[in-house]
Amino acid sequence: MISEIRKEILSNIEKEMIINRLTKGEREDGRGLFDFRNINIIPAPVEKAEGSAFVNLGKTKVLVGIKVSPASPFPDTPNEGIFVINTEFSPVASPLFELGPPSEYAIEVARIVDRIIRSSEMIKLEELAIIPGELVWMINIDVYAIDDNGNLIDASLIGALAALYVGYLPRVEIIDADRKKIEIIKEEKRPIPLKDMPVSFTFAKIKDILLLDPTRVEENIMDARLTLAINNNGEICSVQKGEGGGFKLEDILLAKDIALKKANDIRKIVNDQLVKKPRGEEAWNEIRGLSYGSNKKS
Amino acid sequence: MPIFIKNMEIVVPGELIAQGKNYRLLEGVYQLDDNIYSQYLGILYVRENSIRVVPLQGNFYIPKIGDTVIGIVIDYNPVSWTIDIRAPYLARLDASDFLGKPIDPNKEKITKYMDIGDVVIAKVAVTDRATNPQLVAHGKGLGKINRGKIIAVPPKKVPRILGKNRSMIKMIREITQAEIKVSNNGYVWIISDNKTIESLIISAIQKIIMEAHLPGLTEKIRDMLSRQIKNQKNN
Amino acid sequence: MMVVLMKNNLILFDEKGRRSDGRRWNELRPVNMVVGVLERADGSAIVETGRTKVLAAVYGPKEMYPKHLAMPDRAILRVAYRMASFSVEERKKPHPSRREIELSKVIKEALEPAIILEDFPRTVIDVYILVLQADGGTRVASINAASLALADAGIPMRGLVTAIAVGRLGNQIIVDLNDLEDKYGDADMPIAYIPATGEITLFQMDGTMPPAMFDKCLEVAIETLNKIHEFQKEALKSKYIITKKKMN
Repeated sequence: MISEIRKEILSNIEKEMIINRLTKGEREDGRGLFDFRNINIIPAPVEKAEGSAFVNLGKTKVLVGIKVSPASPFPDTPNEGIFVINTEFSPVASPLFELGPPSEYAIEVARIVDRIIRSSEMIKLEELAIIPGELVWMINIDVYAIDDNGNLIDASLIGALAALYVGYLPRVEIIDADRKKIEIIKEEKRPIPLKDMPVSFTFAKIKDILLLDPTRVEENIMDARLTLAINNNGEICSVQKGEGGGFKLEDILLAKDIALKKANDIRKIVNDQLVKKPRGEEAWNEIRGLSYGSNKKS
Repeated sequence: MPIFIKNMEIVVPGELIAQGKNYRLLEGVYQLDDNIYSQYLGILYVRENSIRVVPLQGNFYIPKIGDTVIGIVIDYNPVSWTIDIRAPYLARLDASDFLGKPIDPNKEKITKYMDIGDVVIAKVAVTDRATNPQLVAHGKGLGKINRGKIIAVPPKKVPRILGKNRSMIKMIREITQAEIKVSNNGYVWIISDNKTIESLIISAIQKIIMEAHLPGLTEKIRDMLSRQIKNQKNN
Repeated sequence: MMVVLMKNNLILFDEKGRRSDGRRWNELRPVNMVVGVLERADGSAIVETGRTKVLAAVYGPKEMYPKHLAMPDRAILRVAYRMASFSVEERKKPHPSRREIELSKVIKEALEPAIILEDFPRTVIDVYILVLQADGGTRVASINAASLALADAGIPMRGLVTAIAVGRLGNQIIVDLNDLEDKYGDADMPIAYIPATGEITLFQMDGTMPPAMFDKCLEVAIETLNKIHEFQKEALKSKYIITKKKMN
């Protein structure tokens, strides 16, 4: 039954060809085994959101938006703000996604991104209190997959980072602390307090070969997947192994070395774009450029 | 009886092409009262008094009896395979139409011949509005594909890749000396020992796809290929 | 004489005849349409009208499952209109609201008459619409985007479907309502139309309209729709015209 076939069937001829080339260290898009595709970030295109980012990782596209709202804190952290990561993988992004509640995969990706942000302590939750003990900021980070061409995990994390970096909290006037009455002044903004920028590296294992940032086709034939995240201190701050196959110990150690080596470069690529590129309405010029030109190299 | 748009112009769905009841309407157009409109974003061809629009977009193939198709096995049962031929409908290939004789499912497993992921070149034997396409794959030039490189092209561009009277594809074969088969459902199968020639052919195909709507294409491709093969020989 | 119109301390129409965003009564917001933005979808388009931005993705025609829901003589069209949680002021929860479900239906019914469904019996054509940012007129932008995405997918159509919302502020007809005008205006009338066949395929109204204005609204709408239709045509042809220009 076609509806039960989760992955698209790739022809054996194509599989063989890809694996042959991989054993020689060649990938279909000409990259090295441990190179990321082009990372292109379009900051703050959605003005109605309190932070947003459109990310192209190669041809994979995600749009992340942030909405903030006052909420009651969790009882065990009365003076800390809250953040929630939600992923929406709708059929817009792939014929393999279905309408309806998030799939296992979508939930896994959301939880991976959540753990990376949480364990790196990227968001200064202590600075999100409005009325300590009563009211705190809740930050909803919603990741929408727009075009799945492989590695939604890293694309989603980059999108979340970027949206947080251009994100803001409106000013709050406390009118009556006892009755939790506040007034939100949208026009006065302060940046979301952040202190780290974790970067993630998702590897695929195809037969004996380990590679970084799989494309859709490479994901289709991979046996296993490994995501590692590195924080500003050069520490590994999250790990997730996925799919049904397995990794040898040396694969994991190699992946770790590569992630540690490249973390700062990736951080720089992300940072540069967040600082330099136009935001808001102006940012849409670049999104329009995607038309009929996804093969363009930036 | 006026025609409002020139031959080989690009038209969009609903674009008014002509007025009158004496035109011969071929594919891609429809008539409402006296008006003839395009159904597609495509190229308008007006020849004598026949009108047609060839779509420029669309990745699906519409099966026709007699077409040669290349497909991927995506499922099977004891006596037949289900083949994806990039059509809105999945195709079926009975084992007996692959082997040329009936199979006894109790004695033989069909996967001995082809399994999921295998690629086959076949002909469309039966298809109509109520039935999914039925394929046959025994006979000359048909059967499982084991070698060479297969690339997918938009099915609507296959006629351009073949060329008028197959002139384009014959020219490419001649210049490159490679075995090339183009299926009606948008696959190009290249068999060449030379990797460079293979890449050249792929570039040529890509150029045809990009410029299908422009005139003088056969010449451009001939020049491009001749030049590059000459360079290759000199190096 | 221009009457200044105010509601809730907002000036909707000032003494110079300018609306809340500075436009004249019949001025459109800036329109941008791009086609073929996605790799995975069979057809796609992004349509922007001012700050309203929507993305449409089309898949198909493909076999309909479960088979008993398929129609023997034609394709089925399915439309899912969804708003991104961050597309509006107050975060919208992902679960489809009743409004999204109704809009999915009326958008489907706006597009159906334009598609030559009989060419593909027993199949389904899926249209997914994601509102990236909402500032009034999302359903009409969705219809404009979906038409482009369908053409991009190579699906045969009788014509493109073009849509716009017209409305009323006091005695004044307005064209292309923004979010404020949608919320606080006196009438909001989204209309969709197939210019090739002259059929109106979506027609709704919220608010009240005196009969004389009703007729004038429709007249103004059709005029405007013909203009927007030209944008759609240009957007579709732009990929090919540019290549032609490059060659000459």
